[in-house]
Amino acid sequence: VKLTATLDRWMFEEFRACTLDLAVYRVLFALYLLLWTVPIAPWISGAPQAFFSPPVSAAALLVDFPPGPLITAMNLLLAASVSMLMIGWKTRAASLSTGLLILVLKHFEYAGGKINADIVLVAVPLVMAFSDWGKAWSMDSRGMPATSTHRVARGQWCLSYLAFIMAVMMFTAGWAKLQSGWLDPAVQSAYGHFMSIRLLIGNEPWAAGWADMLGTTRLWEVADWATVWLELAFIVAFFNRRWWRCLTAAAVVFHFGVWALYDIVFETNVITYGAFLPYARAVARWPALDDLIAGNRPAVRMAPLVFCASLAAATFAVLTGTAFGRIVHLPVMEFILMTGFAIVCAWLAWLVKSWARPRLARTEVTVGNEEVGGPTV
Amino acid sequence: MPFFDGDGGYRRGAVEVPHVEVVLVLADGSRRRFHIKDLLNSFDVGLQGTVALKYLSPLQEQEPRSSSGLKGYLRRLALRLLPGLHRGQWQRDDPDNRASLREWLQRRAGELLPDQPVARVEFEWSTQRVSVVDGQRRATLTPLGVFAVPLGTDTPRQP
Repeated sequence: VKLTATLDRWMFEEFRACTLDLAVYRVLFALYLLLWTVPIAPWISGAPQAFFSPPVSAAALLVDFPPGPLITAMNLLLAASVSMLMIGWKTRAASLSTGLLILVLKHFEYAGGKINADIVLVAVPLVMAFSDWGKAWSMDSRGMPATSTHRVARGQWCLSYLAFIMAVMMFTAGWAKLQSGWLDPAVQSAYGHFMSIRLLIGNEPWAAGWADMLGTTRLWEVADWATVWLELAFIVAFFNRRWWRCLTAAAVVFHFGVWALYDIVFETNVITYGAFLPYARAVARWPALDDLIAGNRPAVRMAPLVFCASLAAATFAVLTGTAFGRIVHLPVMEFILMTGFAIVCAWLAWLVKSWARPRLARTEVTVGNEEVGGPTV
Repeated sequence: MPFFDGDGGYRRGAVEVPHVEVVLVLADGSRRRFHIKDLLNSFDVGLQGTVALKYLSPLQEQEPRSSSGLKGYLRRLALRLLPGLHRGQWQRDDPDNRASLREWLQRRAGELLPDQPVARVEFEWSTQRVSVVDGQRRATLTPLGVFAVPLGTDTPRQP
């Protein structure tokens, strides 16, 4: 009974968010998909059968990549789903179709022989379809007044489930590293990858020059251990929101470092951590932004325009085979990583300030009392 | 394949990484070298290394697959249920795979060297051993093998 109660409490109470938080996240997530994810696997239409090598999956039922027009059609459907998700029109159906279409398209993308960590993009819409993320800032909520309950944080089982999926994903990545000798003190795996990514593919990440100055010091072994334990720790951290917050903050810094040193961008992970941010509370101190988030009417009024613009941009991206963000040279991935890093820095600064303020106040009182000769508090 | 599995880490003062160069051999025998990125630029950057290692490396580097015993039976069963399972990697010498690779390389060669007849594409593989001595990077190349695909004939061959 105790175990059931603990699980219930974790599932339904541990991760809290208000409707506005989830609604803002829905828009940001859809915007990311629109700018950077659509189209998925456009290269399939030009790939030879010789590169078709799916792992155990539905794609392995076929012996060749599906025809290019089918991939294009699915990407067009995805574009429509993402546009609907952005304006919150038939949000649940749009979330489910977005998740399922990404799942199918990723199946074929991974048939090229490489499975990426971006499968989490499937999990977010499929899980959040059953949350309140369509109940504010959406067409679905038109006619309903923006109520104060939108700001009340309450337990969200969808977030608990998302944390669980994320934790399993990170744990498996850490486990694979653990198995392949990343903790062997005679081998510096992080340094090896740092060298090989530059030599094999010819990438020159922006912080590579600084890392070169470190040479082959034992710091690289520390990096190996830190990477493995960070990834493994997720399997414990998802039980508690405070641990989760600390670990995801550390992970954002880690992803920032991976980008700087390896030119490998895990922006999908950072986007997923964004589901746990208290957007409504964060903007409460800026009235203009707060009013924008709180009111549903502007969102509804703008919805047709946003939908048309979003659909047009995504369709253009599908037909050209390049994500819209790339077409207009938007540094989407870099922006996400830098924003994530800035949020972590701001959070750390706030923590330090919260920790230091009562102590400083106590010192001032003490000093003030000593100056007037009064008793020390 | 050696060094592609596992950690690929820095060990005993050096790191060993695979290195490949794409050589387009023209009909007159002249050779033009390209970076693998140039050939695979239609693929996502993250996929380029995988494609090179899995489908364009020398065939003799493939591990022999057991056809008898329980492992072989399970493999045959898996292939019957999932005919596409790891097809590009496990069945590189399949005629359909060879033909599609040749056709794709013909197209890419035409794009890289327009109006120049390319007779053969060679992927020259080597192990690059890089060590860092006194802050200086030193690299040595050890040839591993060549995967060649003749564009005019039927079968990719090992030179």
